[in-house]
Amino acid sequence: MSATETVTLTIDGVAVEVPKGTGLVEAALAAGIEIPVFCYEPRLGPAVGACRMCLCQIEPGPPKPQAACTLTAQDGMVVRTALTSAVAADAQNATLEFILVNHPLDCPVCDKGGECPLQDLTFRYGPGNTRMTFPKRTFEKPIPVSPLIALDRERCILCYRCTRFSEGVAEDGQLVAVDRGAGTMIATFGDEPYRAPFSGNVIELCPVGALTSTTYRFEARPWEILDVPTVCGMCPVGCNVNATTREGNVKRILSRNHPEVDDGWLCDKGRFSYAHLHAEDRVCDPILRVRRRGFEEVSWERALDEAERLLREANGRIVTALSGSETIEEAYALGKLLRRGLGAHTAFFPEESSDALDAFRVPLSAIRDADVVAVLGDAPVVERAPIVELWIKEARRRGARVLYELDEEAVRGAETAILVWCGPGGHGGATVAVLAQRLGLSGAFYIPETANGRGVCDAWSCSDDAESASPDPIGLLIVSGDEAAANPDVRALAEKAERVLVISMFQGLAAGWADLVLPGTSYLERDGTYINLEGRVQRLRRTVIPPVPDELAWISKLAERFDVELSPYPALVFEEVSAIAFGGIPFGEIGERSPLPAATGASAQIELGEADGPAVDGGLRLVRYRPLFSGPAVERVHELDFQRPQPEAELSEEDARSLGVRNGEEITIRSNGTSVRLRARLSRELRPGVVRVSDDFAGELKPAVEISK
Amino acid sequence: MSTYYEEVQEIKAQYPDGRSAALPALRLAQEKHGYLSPEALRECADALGTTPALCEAVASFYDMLHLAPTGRHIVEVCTNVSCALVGAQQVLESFEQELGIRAGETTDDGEVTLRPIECLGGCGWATVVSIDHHYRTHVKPADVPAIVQELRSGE
Ligand code: SF4
Ligand code: SF4
Ligand code: FES
Repeated sequence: MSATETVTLTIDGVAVEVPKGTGLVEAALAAGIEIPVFCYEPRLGPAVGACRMCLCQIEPGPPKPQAACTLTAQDGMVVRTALTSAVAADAQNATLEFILVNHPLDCPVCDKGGECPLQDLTFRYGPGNTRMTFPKRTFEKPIPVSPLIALDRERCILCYRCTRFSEGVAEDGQLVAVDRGAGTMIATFGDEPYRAPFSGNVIELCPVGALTSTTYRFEARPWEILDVPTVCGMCPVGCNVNATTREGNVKRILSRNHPEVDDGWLCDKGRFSYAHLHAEDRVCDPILRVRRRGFEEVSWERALDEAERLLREANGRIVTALSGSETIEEAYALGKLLRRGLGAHTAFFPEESSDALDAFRVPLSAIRDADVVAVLGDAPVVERAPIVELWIKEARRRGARVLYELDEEAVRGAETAILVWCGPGGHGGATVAVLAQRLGLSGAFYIPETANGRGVCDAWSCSDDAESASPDPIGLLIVSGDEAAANPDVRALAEKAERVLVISMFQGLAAGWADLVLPGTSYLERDGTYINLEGRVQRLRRTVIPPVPDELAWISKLAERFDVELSPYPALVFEEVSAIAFGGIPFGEIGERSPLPAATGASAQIELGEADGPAVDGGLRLVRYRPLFSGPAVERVHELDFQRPQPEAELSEEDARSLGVRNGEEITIRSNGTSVRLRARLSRELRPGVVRVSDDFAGELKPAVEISK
Repeated sequence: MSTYYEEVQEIKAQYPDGRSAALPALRLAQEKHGYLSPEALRECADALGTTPALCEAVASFYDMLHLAPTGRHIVEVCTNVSCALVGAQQVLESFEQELGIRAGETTDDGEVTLRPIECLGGCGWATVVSIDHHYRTHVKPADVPAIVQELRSGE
């Protein structure tokens, strides 16, 4: 590759050399100079020049101030910002005064106060006084854009960040600007809520207090909060986040841009689920089943005695059902206790996992730069790993071909082709690796269903080498975590087990079928590590102190009773795992934005059959999926209820055409004996032959379906 | 006879991105429904494969697309610079007086809607008033009673 071409320009008398194509705002930053902006946000696509805050005097160019954010650095350009140019300073003052004509300046009662770009820039630039003595315009307020977002219209400065996000990044087209000129208003359609998986990002994008979070509104001031850097544990993406805490409670979740993982976006599940920490049915004390009296809360002392008794009495006939949401440390600790202490090697994992794809490891951001992205497996990416969908959308906007059906010629012909597998038949990535190898791909992803399924699997296998046959009958079933507790397959196992020990956060999930319930904690309350779908080891931090001891604390106590040496400190536990699985990297070096380990050499032989989605003769194949807004935590956050899926069935445009079905029309989906009636949603993101329906509406439908009007 | 949905599919096919057909699709929907009601916008969005919100955003930008029911006749007075300089405001006010409604409203009998409008492209003939999309030029406040009389009398 040739060295990057550069250009040299002068900004406020400072000469600076930047790569060709650099925007003026960034070029100025490189020279140590700030050009103030409101609307400019490169992640939203091309600059729109809506707010005029960035006006500078620029030569060569027309003899009037220009919006610096819309220009790129050119060789020999002379830029003068308000610091050195009276013309620019004048223009900027006028802009700020003009923006404030309609702005209420109600900072003392505005949630943005203290962290507001408008407040900051008004303080630092602008005339510092106003000539506007007439009354300001008012609107009905706040307008509930959705149960999650409030809009105070009079504060809006019409920078169009929110609508550009909605139309140009999330591509949901829900939040728009209606009307024109000074009368423009941000709105959704009629009274409909902004229902889309990424809606919360507009709150962070808004440079004023016009769009605020209903769950954070009036909860805290910026000078009394503490942001704790951690990662989201709600899906396998592992977005980097800051948990804003106040007085020991999580108050909101903000993005903490990891440019390779999330590009600073979050989905609403990750952003708003934190309220599950305060769920009404949170288990705060161990619960024991007692003869005749039913259940009773017991002390930890007693609970550990009971746990010990259950473990001993099972005589090694123990099965552990894991959730895939445990930290690596927790899963390892559990494994070490049970396998080394009791010879109980049998685990029930939530899903298959494989390291075969490590040979094709690339960061998620590589999707954006690919020429061809093949999205296979038929399950909707957005419902499993939302941010991956945003990367795919961005790739398409940049001109990539996105295929939903394997076109080998297109894939082989592309300079960079990336495969994203979401759905059955991937075998934890093993089959995907076979395909990737055969096609000579630059990168491939397998999208698991659980946040840390891979990490849990690895940790469990690191914890001991021995193996044993699955016990029958099962003496004790240990159910680790809420997802396992909610899993029907685990419930079925429990029916067959003599005793059941459940670790869970919520009474609703644990009560009634367990002999002993030990309180669980949330990913926001634990220290430890997760592995995301790229294979990146990321650090979870304890953002608040949980109301109960965390899992590692009591597992290590219990381990003592079985002469298993186990530290209660995640850092030390991680080091044991790391020595085996992660090349010995110490806990402290994972960092706040962890790097992706290099791809391993192509694994010698991955022998596996072809991808094997269930075959269907004729007709259409139904793909049912678990919706994003579901699961034990989400179900306890009622503000998210409106995000549940709509009664819709997704169809490819080709199938719709041959069936004569129109977008938005009611259709009947039938499979032997049962049928459901749903609205048809035509999609370009689905291959012909497949129809997608969420679990909420798929009822008893079988995989082979027919559609009629 | 082709339905609205099919007609929009045909228009869509002429563009690389179907949403480019928004304006013709909205015009057709307005012809069908009389104005762009929420129902009409939904129908338009389904046919275009986009959201009703985006349809409304486009429609609300253009003066010739109506988001509320209009009267049988539409009187539109240009109030942009050229017309404003020769007294468009007074012309608009005369219409208000003569019709007994405020700009933006429709007479009770549903006959006439009065609205100010952006530049009609007739700056040389200010003030320009569009009556059911036909221009009257050089309109003075004094001309207004006769125009209203004309409208009321049917032709
Ligand atoms: S609501 Fe906020 S982000 Fe949206 S246009 Fe107004 S100021 Fe900008
Ligand atoms: S995409 Fe996944 S990791 Fe990111 S915020 Fe949403 S649930 Fe959390
Ligand atoms: S930042 Fe340049 S116009 Fe808004």
